[in-house]
Amino acid sequence: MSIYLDYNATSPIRDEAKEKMLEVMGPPINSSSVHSFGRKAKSYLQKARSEVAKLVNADLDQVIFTSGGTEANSMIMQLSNSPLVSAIEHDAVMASSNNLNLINVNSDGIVDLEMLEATIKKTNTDMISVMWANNETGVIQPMTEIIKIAKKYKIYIHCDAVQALGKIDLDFKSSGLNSMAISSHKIGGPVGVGALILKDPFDVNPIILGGGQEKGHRSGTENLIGIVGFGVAASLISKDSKNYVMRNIGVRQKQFEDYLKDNLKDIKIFGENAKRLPNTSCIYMPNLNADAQVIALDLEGFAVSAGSACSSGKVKSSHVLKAMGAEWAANNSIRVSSGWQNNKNDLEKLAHSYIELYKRSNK
Amino acid sequence: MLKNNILGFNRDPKDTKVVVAMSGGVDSSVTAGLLVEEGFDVIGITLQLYDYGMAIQKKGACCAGSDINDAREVANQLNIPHYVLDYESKFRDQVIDDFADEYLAGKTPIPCVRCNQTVKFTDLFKMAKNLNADALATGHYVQRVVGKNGIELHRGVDPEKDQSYFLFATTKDQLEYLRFPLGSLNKIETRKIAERLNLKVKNKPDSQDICFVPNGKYSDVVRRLRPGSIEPGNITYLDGSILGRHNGIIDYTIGQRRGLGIGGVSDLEEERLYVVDIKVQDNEVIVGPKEALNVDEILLKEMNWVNNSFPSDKKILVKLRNTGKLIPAEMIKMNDRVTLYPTKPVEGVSPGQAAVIFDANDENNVLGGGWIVSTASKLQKKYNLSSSAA
Repeated sequence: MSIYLDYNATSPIRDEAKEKMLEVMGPPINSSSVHSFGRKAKSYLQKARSEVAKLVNADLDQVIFTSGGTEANSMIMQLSNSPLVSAIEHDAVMASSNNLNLINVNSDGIVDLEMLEATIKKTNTDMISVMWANNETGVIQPMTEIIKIAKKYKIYIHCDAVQALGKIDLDFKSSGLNSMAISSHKIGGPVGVGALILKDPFDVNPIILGGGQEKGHRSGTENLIGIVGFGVAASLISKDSKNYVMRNIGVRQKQFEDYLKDNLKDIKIFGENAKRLPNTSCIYMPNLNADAQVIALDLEGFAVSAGSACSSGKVKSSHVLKAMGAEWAANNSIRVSSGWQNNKNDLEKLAHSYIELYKRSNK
Repeated sequence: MLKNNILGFNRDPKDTKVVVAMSGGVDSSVTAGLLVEEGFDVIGITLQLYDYGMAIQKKGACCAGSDINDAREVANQLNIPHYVLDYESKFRDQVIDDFADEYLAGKTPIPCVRCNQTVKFTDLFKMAKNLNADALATGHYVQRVVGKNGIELHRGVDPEKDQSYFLFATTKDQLEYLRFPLGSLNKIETRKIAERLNLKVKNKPDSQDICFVPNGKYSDVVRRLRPGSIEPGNITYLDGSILGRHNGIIDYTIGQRRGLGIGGVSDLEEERLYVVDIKVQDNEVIVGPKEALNVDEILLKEMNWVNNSFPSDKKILVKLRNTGKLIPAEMIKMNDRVTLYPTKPVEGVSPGQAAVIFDANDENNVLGGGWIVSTASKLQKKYNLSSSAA
């Protein structure tokens, strides 16, 4: 059995979430129905909504369930004609408009705040969208400062928080954000569910029309099985109020990085000087393409990834590293992202295999 | 003591790691199937080489997308790890661009050889080594023979399927590492194995065309790749008289007879005319009688010798196109180039094609070969044809 170290792509489903989903899987569950089954469905739905709301500190009616992070981002991005976005956004944001104004990041992967402000003045844009944390490097953006700038110019501010959710504390209400996209399958819930968190529910136009579910924001009978799983996964993270799990993951990830750096002088870890998600390392190895690294490690029983793979499975070179001025490394870097199911030795084992691979290809 | 396994390693197949280049076709699927059956540690790799939709600019029935899926499904069926590598930009730089440029230079290129030379046996080769594999296996119909003078490349047993013409550029280092399990089989046997293993692709037809020119209209592809660089010009008889117009020299190949599109002559006369030369500088297609196709000197460049040394015997056999016969010739070396003197004049030799050289004493043994730069003949000299200008 392979060791899974690709939590930023998707995570295993938590046992507790699976159990609850199995409970819902069976009875007829349409929460719009008037009868007792419908009422039962509604109560599951609202419980999940409150669990998700609690995790991000939002009100119940600020949570709109969607089919995932991509849909939540698209609902917002379609509202602007020329949004201002960071150069390291996920494709869910990048592909949403042909008329993006890109804001550079520095070599640590942090948004250039001066350029952000200058571009606002220059372009008369009506929206800013910056991801809370980057999926490839784990670098955390200075959201407080970014939101402050947006407020100063009275510009709508959206955040793709898909990768940050569950890994660092997110407080929607006190953040000042207008909207935020999150996803279930990165935190131990199932795929196919996400949510858009909206400060003012009147801000958004629905992109899926029909029966008017989710207060008219997102029609279609709710994916209750998925939503219930999302709720349980969210509640498990809220329960760990001291962030014991993530802190532990962070300690091991740091040890892993230090061990690699001690043994291999010319590797590089991106965003090293920035605040990063505790579970994410983006590592450059000279002389071996990322796809060869990923395949070789897969054959040795480690699931890691290179950049963001598109649906056909072919690996694109990383636009994130290019934006960080590290185009030279874009084809040679892999991402190791650990999670709650990893045990103490998993990263240690990977480190040994990685070092072997390095030695083999850097003879 | 262990016997050598069928890939020639002195150990148990399960301890022999082999990468199989899987295209999604029957041949490479059977290659993988046979090796799995023998118990080898098999890894399947499929190369994404081009965007099929871009190649034909429409949605079609059979496409690279579905070939990749076929390879994936076969690998699944065989329960082996399988990966898709994105070599689109390498393939564009090293194969497709060369293909277009060669046509524009009035030549008739063979992209399959370039692909074997570069993408498959350089890049994929490197990947297989990086994965610590002991060998790279393909579904080519050629044989790797361990002879007394080292490893030799021999023709596939099935003369219909033999692919040695496309593999003449294989270097000694590459051949050491490569394996061709189908080389000793004929096509019927391969199909039978596909049937026996019940491979999902068992009924898939063989591919006929150049992979990125799926409908066989290579000139359309060149026009799309190099818009604006293709100009109409004259079709001229050997003596200089203009017989008609063409829409671009890329539509013509030396030796071509049909579809010349000469308006001014009767069908009967056109039947007797052949493309005997393509003058790139004048943008002219030269036509003439069949005799004018005869050449008695062929200049070759970029020679590859499978065992790394120039053959001792200057009498050799040569194949000048894939479907051509073996022709006796003498070979003379000048620096890094070689001139061939066929025993009898040969016709229809196109610059850009490969000249593949076989051992005169063992016509299965591929010694190597090179690319045809130019040709010469008495008649060519008489009419000052450009092919004679080496």
